[in-house]
Amino acid sequence: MIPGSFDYHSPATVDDAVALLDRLGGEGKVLAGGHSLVPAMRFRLASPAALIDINGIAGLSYIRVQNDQLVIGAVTREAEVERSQLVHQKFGALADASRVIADPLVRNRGTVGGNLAHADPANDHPAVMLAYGAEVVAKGPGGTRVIPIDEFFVGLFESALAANELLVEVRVPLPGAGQASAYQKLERKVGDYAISAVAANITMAGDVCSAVRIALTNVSPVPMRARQAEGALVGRRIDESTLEAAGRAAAAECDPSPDLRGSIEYKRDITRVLLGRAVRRAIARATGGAA
Amino acid sequence: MKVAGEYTFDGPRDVVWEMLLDPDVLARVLPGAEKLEQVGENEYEGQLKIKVGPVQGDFQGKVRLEDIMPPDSYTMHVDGKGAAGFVKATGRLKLTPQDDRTVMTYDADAQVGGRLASVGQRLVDSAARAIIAQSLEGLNAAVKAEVAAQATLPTAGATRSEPSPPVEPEYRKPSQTQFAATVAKEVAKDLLPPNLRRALIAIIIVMVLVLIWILMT
Repeated sequence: MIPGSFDYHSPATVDDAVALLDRLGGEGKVLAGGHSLVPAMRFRLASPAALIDINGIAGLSYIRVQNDQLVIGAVTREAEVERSQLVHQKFGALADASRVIADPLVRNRGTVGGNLAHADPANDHPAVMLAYGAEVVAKGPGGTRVIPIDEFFVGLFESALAANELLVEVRVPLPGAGQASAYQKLERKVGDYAISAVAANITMAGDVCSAVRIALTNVSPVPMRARQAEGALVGRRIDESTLEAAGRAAAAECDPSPDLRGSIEYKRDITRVLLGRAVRRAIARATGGAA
Repeated sequence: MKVAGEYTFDGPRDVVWEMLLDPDVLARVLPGAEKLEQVGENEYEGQLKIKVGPVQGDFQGKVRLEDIMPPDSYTMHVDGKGAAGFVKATGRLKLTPQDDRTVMTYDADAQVGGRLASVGQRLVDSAARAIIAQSLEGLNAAVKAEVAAQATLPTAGATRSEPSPPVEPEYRKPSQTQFAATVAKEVAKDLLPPNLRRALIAIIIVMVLVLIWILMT
């Protein structure tokens, strides 16, 4: 099918884009990579009255270190994240995710900002950014605000962004000593959404876990942290039994919906297994082992 | 698919029961339903607008209430048809008092078909739960308002048979503006190029609101 009719705007600056969003008041949708929005429009499941194309705005696509944080511009393509040496060296979960988001064609267009702003629980960046404790920078008519990632995902397809705000940047804290991350995803075939996926960001002091953040993909209506699993790991010596306990905790606290990818029980069990793998991989990276 | 759950309302059972039978309240509960028109005994029809994030579907909805056992339970049949697909659901609602609150348990069987179901298959379950949660919160707000309204009345039992006036204006104001805005936008879209639209829309909204105000006083 083809989309219904819509007005098209191509602002040259962030301020112009924000002014348009403010004027259109919820009737306008931002177009970045378009690989979540345009399919929905093609099936006429989404019919925004206007599209605000931000691909023409200069200066929104970058990956660099600034103030002890990795800052990523909203219109940075997933393929750029996949190619980035900086990400590859220090941000294991982000590097892992960038290889499994959809397929290479989608990754050439899809953006980090769009992946987050769409607030789809099946997207990969929400769980990765939750595990990193990242921050989202939003620009509105009143100015700029920084939204902590734990407050960013509010409901199914609902983020904390107001209708007149534009996501402009994502900020990820630099890992400290003994800290590393990993992302494990199981999908039926290349390019598919996750049956389940686990992002783990762990800090080790010897063989004791001193801090950990774990988040899950596509096993809840809203991207979630696996807080029970975190509690089963933090402050403990990590061995097979703690990993098993954490895996069971994650399986119990997630809230998957049954669909063609699997039943509730299946998705819970996959979450349990993936948690063990993600944490083991993160620990291996943290203690200087395998990548 | 099966949807089951429970929800606690902040109001006594007879208040909740009355509201669950009231079509104006049901219109609030069913998502995006502006108004339900009675087409038969315990049978109502109306437009449902369901919105989950960027996805929006308009449905022609029919609601039928059956096996009504006051003040305890009834069965609700919902039949929605739209361009994006169809929804057919049957649910049993049961109310149990708990101190001055009411626990409602619901057990429903729903079928979703058409484009929504095939393209959006992975989301049907989460969306259903999100929509039900929205509806129940809306209903709870109405219950709380009714309880508050009854508490401020000097005579007991005065308003049991109708929805209480304080609730109505609160509901109507946003929908009047929305309605006026929708009318204005449609008219403007047909008449004018984009740069003049905004001014015309504003003028039309003001005119429609003035008209409604005149008709109501």
